[in-house]
Amino acid sequence: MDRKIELLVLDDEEIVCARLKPILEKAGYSVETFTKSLDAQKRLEEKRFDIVVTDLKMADIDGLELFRFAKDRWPETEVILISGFATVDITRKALQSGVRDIIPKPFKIAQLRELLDKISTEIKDRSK
Amino acid sequence: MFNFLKRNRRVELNDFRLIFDRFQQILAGNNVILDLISQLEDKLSGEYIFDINYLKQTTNGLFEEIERIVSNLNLIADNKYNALYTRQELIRTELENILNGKIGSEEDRFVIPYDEIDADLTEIVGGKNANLGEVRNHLKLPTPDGFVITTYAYYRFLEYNSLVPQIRKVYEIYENGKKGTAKRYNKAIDDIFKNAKIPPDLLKAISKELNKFIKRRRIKSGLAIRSSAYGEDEAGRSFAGQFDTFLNCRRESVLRRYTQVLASRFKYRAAVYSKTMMDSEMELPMAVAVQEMIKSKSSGIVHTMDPSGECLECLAISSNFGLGINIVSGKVDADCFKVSKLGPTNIKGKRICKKELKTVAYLDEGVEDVPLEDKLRDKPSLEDTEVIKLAQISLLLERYFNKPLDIEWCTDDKGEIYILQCRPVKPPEKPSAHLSNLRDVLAKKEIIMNGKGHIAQRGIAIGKVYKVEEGDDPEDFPVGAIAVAKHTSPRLTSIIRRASGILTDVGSSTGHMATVAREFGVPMIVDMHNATEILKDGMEITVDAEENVVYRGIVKELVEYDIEAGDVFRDLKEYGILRQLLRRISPLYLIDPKSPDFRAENCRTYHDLIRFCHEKAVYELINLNISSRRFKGIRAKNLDIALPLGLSIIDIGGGLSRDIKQDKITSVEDINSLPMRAIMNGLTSPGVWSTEPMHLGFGDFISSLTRYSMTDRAAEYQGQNLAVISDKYVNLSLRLGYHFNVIDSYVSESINDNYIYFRFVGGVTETERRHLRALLLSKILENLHFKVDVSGDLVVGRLKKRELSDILDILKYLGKLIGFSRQLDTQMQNMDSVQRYFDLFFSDNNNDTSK
Repeated sequence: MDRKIELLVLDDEEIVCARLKPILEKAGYSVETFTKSLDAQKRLEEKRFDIVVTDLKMADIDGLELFRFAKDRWPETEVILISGFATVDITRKALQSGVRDIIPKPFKIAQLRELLDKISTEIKDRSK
Repeated sequence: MFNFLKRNRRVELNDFRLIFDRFQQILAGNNVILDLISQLEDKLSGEYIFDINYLKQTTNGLFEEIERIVSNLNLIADNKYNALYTRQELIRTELENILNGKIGSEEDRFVIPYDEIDADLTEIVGGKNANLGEVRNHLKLPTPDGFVITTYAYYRFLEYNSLVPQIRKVYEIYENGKKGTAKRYNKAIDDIFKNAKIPPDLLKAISKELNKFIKRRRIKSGLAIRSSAYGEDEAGRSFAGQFDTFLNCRRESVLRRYTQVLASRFKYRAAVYSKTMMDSEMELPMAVAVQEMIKSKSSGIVHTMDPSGECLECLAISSNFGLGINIVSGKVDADCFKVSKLGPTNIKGKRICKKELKTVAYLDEGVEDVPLEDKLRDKPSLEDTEVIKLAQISLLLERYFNKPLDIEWCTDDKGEIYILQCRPVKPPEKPSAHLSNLRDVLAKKEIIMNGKGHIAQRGIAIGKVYKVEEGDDPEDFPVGAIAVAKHTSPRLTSIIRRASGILTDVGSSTGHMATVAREFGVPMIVDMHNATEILKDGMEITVDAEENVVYRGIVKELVEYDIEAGDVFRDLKEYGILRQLLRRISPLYLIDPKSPDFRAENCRTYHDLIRFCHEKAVYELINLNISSRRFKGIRAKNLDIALPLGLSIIDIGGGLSRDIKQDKITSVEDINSLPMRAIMNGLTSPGVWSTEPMHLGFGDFISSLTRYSMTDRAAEYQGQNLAVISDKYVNLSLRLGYHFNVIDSYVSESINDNYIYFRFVGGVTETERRHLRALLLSKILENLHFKVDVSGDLVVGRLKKRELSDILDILKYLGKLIGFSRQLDTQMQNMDSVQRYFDLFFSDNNNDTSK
């Protein structure tokens, strides 16, 4: 049996977590969700996740800060940003600094799934 | 003198250009809004992740566009339609209230009749009443008539009598163990409520509604007073039976019983269930139903998920003669039936017990248990046909509410089934262990189809395959089966209520069938290419309309997953908000511009507003010469030729022959506008719009359409049409039947300036057929070298930078296309028609045009 790819999902809108958790768990991922960025950061401090999916605009720590934190702590972790407010400028900067991808909200579930499945395959290939 | 005239004319023209510019802005805004509505509707399918910010942004976009359209129309029309400002504001306020979680104008009502209740009002009528309202008003199933005394009334009652501090005091004493037993505690609560008075405004409201109700139903007694607290059926809570219900009450007792139901909210049984409830009266506010009691032949409960857990694909019915109250409480024995949910709904098992008692209503008031007549004791309390009918209704309810349910029901002496109550079953405390490795479990199951098609409604469905064709009688479709069809079709819509899932080879996820599937929560995958070949009638399958997978057999684990840990998007707050928003945005009530009701004051939704503004904008432009002195140099002239186009033409420079003296254009020869002339040449080609049909091919086809139109009201012309032209320009807006067509084109010797913009969208006819028509139009346009975008039934074609002669040829085709397409939606039945009519259009054009 393959090892499960571990995801951390962070979005201050509960509906995003409420939907992504069952959808991604069904797809075989292990998923932890957070609606507060400080809680997510605390969890990231102690545990390495394969992929972090985070909203961009949030109170306390925003998505980009969380991305930097995750990368400092776990350089291998891939980060995907989701945002209803991503401008071309933000997108360019984020991608340049190493964010894996930015998905504008609202998005089709299939779009995120495709991206996650692709990254998972890479991760599994790397560890072979 | 001459110069002065010239200058004046320029001013008029500039004025007109401003007006025309506003008119075009209205058209553009109209398009933006239709696009936004269709985007919002798409989100109901569950295929997108969105949040409240998206709903707010989109609704704000609608606000801005509507505001612009309304002010542009009033600018054109000298503020003739300022009632629109009020309508627009009212709808906006309603939408804002929904977005902010307020109920709006309903919020301060003490009583609401069942006919006005649905899920939108959950907060003030309680979950059980809201569900009953959905069953009554959206599913149109029989429920008892009556009304609800709202949670707002509950707050008013507590506040008027200053009850909260008194109750708290009693509770604290009890909790601190100073006042002994539950009995004494309850007595103290009872005393508080007995001494309380119903506030005069509330009393007046209840009495008024009660009188209306009693007059309507012609009854004086036989009323049921039932609790329905807001929040009592939320996940993880089960307050079933904690609050009081009174059956068979006389009208004189209604107020007393109402007070007693309110008191039960604070009594011992409830208090031990939830301490937080006692800490705040805001927790579980109490709404109370006043219902007519149905004279029950038999009654009982349906569990749509077999509570014994023995049969996953079964529902369980318990039933006895008389009233059902003792079955609910478990006091009497009941007949049990197990019915397959897979379709057909067969009775898989029954246990007919010996029944000693039945519960009946006293003649005066209250209920009692009496011995059952000897001859009935061993008889089933439900006939098999009734069992099946009840099971079918229950399946519909389970799918509609998207979760397992407990349903209280009864039959009357005519055998009609009434739904008395329906509420979600409390989910199990611990999800099953195998859910953590569902993917591995599923990997071992046999997959029949994988990754094919588009999801039109997310969900999981189990059932037996039943193939359907358009001509089939919907009544033949076995309830609970999975419908497998070649293509989506408006004619198949009537089976949706009966199906547990829908799969099609071809079809669109934006069509009418998908919309109805969303309404009833039926999982649906379209465009699977060969579902009808691979799946055989009677085959048991599990449809995973989340991952586009069809499994052989019933995949128990997937069903359990769906119940215990599934993606229950339809229950999420944002989906409720979206549904409520759409109810005030997307329905079109103002349909007929000739009707006296076609007035600004009657616009109920944003769709009504844009429909009204568009119609009036065209009207105002056509009638400019009457309504304003500013445009005396520019007059709309009517095209008075054999075609029943209802077209007025405004010439903004060199578009018409100078010889026209009247307000009528009686010959196409009088049109000097190159692009307009080309379109008219196409439209007036033999057979295109002829009332004298040709004998062959295209003409025959058109004549059949013409005949069809005489009986089809939807295809009649419903408003005025307008062309604004110059020597090189045309902007043609046509509403024919209910569809709406715009052609905008500029032609010159300079190839870079030349363009044609073509836009076509349907009106109120069935979406599915309009979508097929859209596919046909896009195929034709592409063949004419247009770049085409299709979204639902909207077709936009763009073409530019082509030689003058090419552009004129293509415009002639478009003229023919106007005639050709005007009633296609009534003819298009399936995908085969697309190719057939495409061939027909070009074959005939090849024959009879001098290309």
